[in-house]
Amino acid sequence: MSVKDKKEVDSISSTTQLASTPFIDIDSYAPKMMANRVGQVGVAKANIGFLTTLALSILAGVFIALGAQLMMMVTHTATSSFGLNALVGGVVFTMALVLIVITGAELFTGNCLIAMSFFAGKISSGDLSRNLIISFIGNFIGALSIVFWIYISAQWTAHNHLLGAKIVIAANDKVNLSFGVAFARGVLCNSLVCLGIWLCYSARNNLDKVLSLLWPISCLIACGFEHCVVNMWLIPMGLILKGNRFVMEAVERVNGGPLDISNLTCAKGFLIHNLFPVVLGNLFGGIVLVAGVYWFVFLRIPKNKKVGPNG
Amino acid sequence: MAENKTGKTVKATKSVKMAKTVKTTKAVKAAKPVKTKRAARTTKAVRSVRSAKKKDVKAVTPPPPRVVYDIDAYSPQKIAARLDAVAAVKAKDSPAVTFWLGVNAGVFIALGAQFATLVISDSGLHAGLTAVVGAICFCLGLIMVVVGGAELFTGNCMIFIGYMDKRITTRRIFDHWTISLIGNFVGSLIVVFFVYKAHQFSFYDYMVGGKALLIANKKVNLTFPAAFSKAVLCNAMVCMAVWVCFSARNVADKIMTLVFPIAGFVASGFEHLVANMYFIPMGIILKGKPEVVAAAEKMAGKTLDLSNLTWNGFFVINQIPVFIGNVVGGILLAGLAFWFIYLRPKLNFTFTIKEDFKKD
Repeated sequence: MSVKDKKEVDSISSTTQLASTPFIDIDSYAPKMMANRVGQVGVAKANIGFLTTLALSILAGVFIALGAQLMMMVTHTATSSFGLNALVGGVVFTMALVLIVITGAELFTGNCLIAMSFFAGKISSGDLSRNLIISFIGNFIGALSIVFWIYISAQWTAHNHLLGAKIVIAANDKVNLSFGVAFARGVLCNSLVCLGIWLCYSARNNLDKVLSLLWPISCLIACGFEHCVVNMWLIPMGLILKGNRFVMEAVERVNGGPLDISNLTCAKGFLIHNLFPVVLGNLFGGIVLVAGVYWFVFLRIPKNKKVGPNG
Repeated sequence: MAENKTGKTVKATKSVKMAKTVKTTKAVKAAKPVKTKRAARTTKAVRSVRSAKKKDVKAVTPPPPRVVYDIDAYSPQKIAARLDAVAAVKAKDSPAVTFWLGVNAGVFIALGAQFATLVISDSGLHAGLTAVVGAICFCLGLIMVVVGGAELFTGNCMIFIGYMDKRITTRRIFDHWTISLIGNFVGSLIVVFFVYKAHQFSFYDYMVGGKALLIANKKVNLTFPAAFSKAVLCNAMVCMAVWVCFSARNVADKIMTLVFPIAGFVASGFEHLVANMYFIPMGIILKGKPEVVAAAEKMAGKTLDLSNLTWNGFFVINQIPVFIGNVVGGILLAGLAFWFIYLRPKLNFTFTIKEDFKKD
């Protein structure tokens, strides 16, 4: 038997041995592996073409707007108890994030998590900002398209215009926040969104993903934190509905008197008072508090030694 | 082998046949089925010999390797072994990593705590149901700790198993606990800052803030034995939750196993050290808001004595007994008990007299 033959036999026997004792890892991903996966996803997202990213982010905007209108629909009767009402609204809103995570749409707030692969040096700051800007624009378009469809469908006339009244009151609350409050709510909100997405990277199947999203997402909606893509649907909806006489009558009935909606304007109220601080808060919460901390813990290579955490 | 096997099949077919004949032809006498039995036996025997010969020819090729896919949940012995390994991993973490993971854990638990506060702020439901709903919301924190990766002091009491098994040195385990505890406190305070800045207390006519104040005030007015025993029970349940989570293969398993013990301890009103690091500082800050105090008094239906709700009350009345209780509950009732059951070194008490005193 020549040396070559022997080698072949050895390789065959070793492969058969491997086949007979397979290593099947079906456990959920450990945090270290999750961090590596987020890093890879960041690289993949940076390589998606412009039009694909835009289409995926329009889808994400649509999903979030659908979740937001569902949340408004479920919680608009003001008679049930406050805490439970908020909780139910949050649970139904989870639908939006479930759709986004499973279909792989590009959500502006969730994409803050791929800053991890920027910190790890796998993508440039240009790639990261390109992805975030395209997804922001796409989310805006998607949310506005749902504003259009919901307005045409006259869904807001439901329950004697009470649904429209709820939307106007919620939108009015959102444009009357001070800068600090809107910023803090934005930070808390996107920390929770990014943590929900982070938990999804541990998942192996869809049940895992749904269950791991359920708690963080219902928390951020129930606690009234500010999600910029939700506001892209809610406040334009309020801007349109405030011109409707029946809706404003319903608002007066709910509020027990005329409501001051002088701040509910497009440029000053929506863009400057709400969206600007909320986007800043979302970016800070997602990029610094979640992506930054997890990068530091799991992906950072210490300067003096080339060994990550956990050896 | 082959003969044995065929013999068995013959026996089996025989009994089946007999049963059939008995069933179908009840009128036929007992002698007849015996005859058919014998005939069957002979023909089967001939067949078995033939088939055995054929099998001998085939038996030259080796059987295909048998693959065992182990996808079951981990058994308790494996849980103990895995926790043991976790202690060895944690011993290698640098202090900075431990600290930031500790901050994460503090943030997560505080987020769960504020979620629970908001949901139970409305006293419309009856007390028990409110407690359960709030407790299920509180699970948010523990889910993120277990799935997302964080160093929670109370859950880390379980790595005492690894210490007993000498996977981690005394120095390292105390460093680890201290650093993660400090991280938890810092993380909780970060969330207190952001939630206060978000003006969450003003929701629902300041009722959310009022509820937070009532919870905090209740926690600083406990007697030492009450706080201690509540803390023991709490951390025993938290460590049980960690223990069952180590049996899980996927995230859904982890979440579903967590929800029951964690919601159980919160609904029962037990004292969790890290959760109190959010609840009580939040109450201390909200004490300065007259609207919140008014809402809390309206909710309680009486004037409140908030004299104990200070940093002194936080550390002395609440944190010290709760800390001792959590440590006792986690280390003695959960860690040490499971170490004793699954990982203790096997002691050999049997005397081998015959070997010691051999006959010549």
